Amino acid sequence: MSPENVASVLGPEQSTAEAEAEATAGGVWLRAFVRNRLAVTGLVVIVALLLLSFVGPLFYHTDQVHTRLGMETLAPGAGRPLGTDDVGYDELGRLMVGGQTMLEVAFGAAAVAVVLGVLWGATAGYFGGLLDALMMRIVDALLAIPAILLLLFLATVFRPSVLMLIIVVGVTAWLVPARLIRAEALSLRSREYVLAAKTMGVRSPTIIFRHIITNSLGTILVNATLQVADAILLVAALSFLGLGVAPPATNWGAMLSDGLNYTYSGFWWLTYPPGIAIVLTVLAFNVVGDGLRDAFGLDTRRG
Amino acid sequence: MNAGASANAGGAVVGHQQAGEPGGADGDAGQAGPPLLELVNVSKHYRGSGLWSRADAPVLAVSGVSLTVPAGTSVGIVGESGCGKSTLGRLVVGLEKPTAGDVRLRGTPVAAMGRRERRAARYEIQMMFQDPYAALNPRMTLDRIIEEPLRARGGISRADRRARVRRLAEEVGIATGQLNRYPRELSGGQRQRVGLARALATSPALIVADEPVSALDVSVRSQILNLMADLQAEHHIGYLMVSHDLTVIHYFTDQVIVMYLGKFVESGPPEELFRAPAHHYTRALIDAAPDPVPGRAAAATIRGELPSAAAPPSGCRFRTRCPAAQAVCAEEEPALRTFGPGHQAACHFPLKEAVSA
Amino acid sequence: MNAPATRRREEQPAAAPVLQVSGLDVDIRLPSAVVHAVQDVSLEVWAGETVGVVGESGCGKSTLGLALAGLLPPEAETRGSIRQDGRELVGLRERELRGIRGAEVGIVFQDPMTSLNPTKRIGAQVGEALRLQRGASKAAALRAAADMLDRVGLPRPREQLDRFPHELSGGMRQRVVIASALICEPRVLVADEPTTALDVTTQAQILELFDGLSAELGMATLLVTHDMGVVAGHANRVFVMYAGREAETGATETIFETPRHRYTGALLGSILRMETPRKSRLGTIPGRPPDLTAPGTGCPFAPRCTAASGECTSQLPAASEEDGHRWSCYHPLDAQETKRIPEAQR
Repeated sequence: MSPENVASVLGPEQSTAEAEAEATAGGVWLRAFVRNRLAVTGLVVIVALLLLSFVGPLFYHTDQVHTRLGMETLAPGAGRPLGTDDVGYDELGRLMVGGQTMLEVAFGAAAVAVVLGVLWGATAGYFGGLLDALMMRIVDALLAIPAILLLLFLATVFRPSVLMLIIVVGVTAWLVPARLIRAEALSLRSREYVLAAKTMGVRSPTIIFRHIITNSLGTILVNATLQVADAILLVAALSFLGLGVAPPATNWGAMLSDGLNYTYSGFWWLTYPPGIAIVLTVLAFNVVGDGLRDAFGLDTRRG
Repeated sequence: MNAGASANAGGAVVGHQQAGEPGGADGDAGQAGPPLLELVNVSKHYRGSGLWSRADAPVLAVSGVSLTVPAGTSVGIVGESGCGKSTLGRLVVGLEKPTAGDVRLRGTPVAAMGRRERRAARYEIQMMFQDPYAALNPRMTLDRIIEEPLRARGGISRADRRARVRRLAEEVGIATGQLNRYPRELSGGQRQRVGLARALATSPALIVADEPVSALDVSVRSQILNLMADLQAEHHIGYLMVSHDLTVIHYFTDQVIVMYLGKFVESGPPEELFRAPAHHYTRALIDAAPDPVPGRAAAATIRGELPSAAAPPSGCRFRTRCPAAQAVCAEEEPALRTFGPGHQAACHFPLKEAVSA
Repeated sequence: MNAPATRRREEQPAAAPVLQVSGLDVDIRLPSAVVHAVQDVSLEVWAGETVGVVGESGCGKSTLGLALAGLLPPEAETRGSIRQDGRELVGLRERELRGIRGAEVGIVFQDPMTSLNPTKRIGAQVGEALRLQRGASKAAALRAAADMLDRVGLPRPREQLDRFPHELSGGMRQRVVIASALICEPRVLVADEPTTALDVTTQAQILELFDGLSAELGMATLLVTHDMGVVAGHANRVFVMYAGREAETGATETIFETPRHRYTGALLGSILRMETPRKSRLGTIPGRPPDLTAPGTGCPFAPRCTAASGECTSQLPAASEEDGHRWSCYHPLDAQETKRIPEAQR
């Protein structure tokens, strides 16, 4: 940290440009994040769930394809830590498979949403004027359509599959990052280093990537983590309503839906595990997202 | 010496005049060709904000300004906020297009150039920015920052680019070992050096320096100014220096232009101008500038503040604050008069006698 | 070239100083390090005088200003003493400090736009301190605000009471800030770069205002700035800081005409003035200010000093004093060297 940087942290003369540079500087945000115990816990939970879903089946072999009628709804016991579901699948195994689908769709959808939203928003914000007005009116119009309805419609029209879910959820979720990044682009485009690039004759797409997007990474990362959380909820909702992947594939939402039929029968292992898994994952991503936002100082650096 | 007798654009308002005399030999074989940079009666108006503005008065950021920068010399533009000096800098560098008038590079108006020619012209004029903390992309390493204009221009191999970056860094006093660092690790003065290196990368003929040292510590200012002078001597670069600081302009430039509310008010060689100005605004600027001499307080010889740029005063724009304003100042814009070699001002009641009719 | 201003004579200190700082240390705890922003600073300010605190980036002058205003961030650790009219300010809790800020100590910062609440009307903001500290009624506060706005030279003050900050220009806003700082007629005024964000013609008016009010109200004013010109024209005494410490202090004339500390000399030598010969080589100070997270032993200026010797790096020089002029340097400038300074642009 140069002495002027240090001193200017204390004095009222620090420019906002410098404040941002400090916040997103190399290891600073990482160290700040690591100090946030709640955020780190969230990260640990996420990693644990990832391991459970993707690495778990390597150690815990169960048949997730063939139903085993005659073994249905057995309570947890020897060899079945979480019992079996109503067609005889091992519940823990189900959880793992469900987790795979869940996380694949969530990450995939978040990726689609973020990529689409960032490109759209950065372009609109950077160019401004008529193009910006047009692009953002489209976003506004799409935002007016309730996502759930759109999702339901798309889900009934298309064949259920992981890819379909990714696209469907991604396509409804890109609007929020578009707005966020457009706001960033609006403020960044009058930065002197962007003006400098213009005087150098750097072409607009290059400027957008090299200067606008790279300096919005904090916002993008925070939004991406929150997108994952949202995607999980959306997929869970969709699957709960019966529109999701077809058996024998499953996800936690579908598991929850199936399990609800048996609430009065007292088969708690059919509802609690998937339910808790959903809540934990969503919480974990939210907490990590918040932690990142604090680490980047995104809330306080305005003005 | 007035090359302005050639065709000009549109009706002259303030008058089309030569604001600069070549400060020294113009470089080659004694032939005075067209000057490196010329602004001919340039204006920049901004419409009121919003796509559907209701008769918002246009903001006249720059009105009818003409000036000349001969190769290898420094021209300074001085004025306070809202005078249009920054806008002028941006017009020269191509970040904005004039709403009237021409920006001419070596005699050819930039607007009349074909796309390719204009792109090439761009590399002849580069800019150095005021805020060393905002002028460099915080997520790029120094070598990439300096290299950027070379990459944009193309036509040079990666290895050659690297070599050029190293040479530039050395020239501005940045150790080559520092090249893979990030701007946040540098001090303000060092960042300004990097900004200079970047501006030099395409071997421009003119650098527009917008408040190049205002954001720096006093002891660092002198380092950067020394460096700029060295680079000028070495590469025969011209500077268009925009500043509110009279002492910097007085020290560094060969010709000074004073602006007020978008208009050219006075121009001349710095010693003459600051010793015996003709315009009241110039006088007020000089009086108000803090001088590091004990007991000399900054004298506020003019009162009030800048009128709005959207609704400037009629006639002479400075009349609302001028101690010598009379009725005619509100009715008529003052014409340009000459007060000495290269010294001109637009005032109905100047502080001294004009020399020519 | 400038109109000569009335020189303000140094007041003969009859009473005790209004502001007395002794051995002030301020450390700022950052996550990665501790910044020793202010180290062992002692100074006094009497009623009616203006002390200019000068230095470059990182010298600690802003931190000093904040400490005197009681506005240090929670990460700051203060040791030493700050006495205002005998009352100790270091160690006071926020609640007690709030009673002092605004009433006894007025504060003016650099940027009038962020010092004023954009959603509150001018009249209300100016009168705020009066209502909070002196329990004045709304009407009384507004009347006093109008008076104060008039005193700071705001045209048509009664009309301005209902306006919002964004309706005014920069210079006007700074006048409003000054009015709100002075409405309770504080004993001390701390101004941190009050004119840096303003145009030079506006700056001149504001500085003139400071001079007038300072005399009228008999305040002890601390003017923190990097601009030697401002200090030369508007401060009775100068306090030069370097790397968190006092380098030199004394009457303005003395500091400018016979500086003793090498840093002061180098600083004066690198300032651009109108008299600086055009296109000459300018004096500079090589190197950079030291890292305040790791203050070494010895004089902090030694690494950049042309006259540094062994003892300079091993031990802090003790202060020498002569008629109110104090400096801490093993190799102070002698008369020959000081005479060369304005011309030393080589």
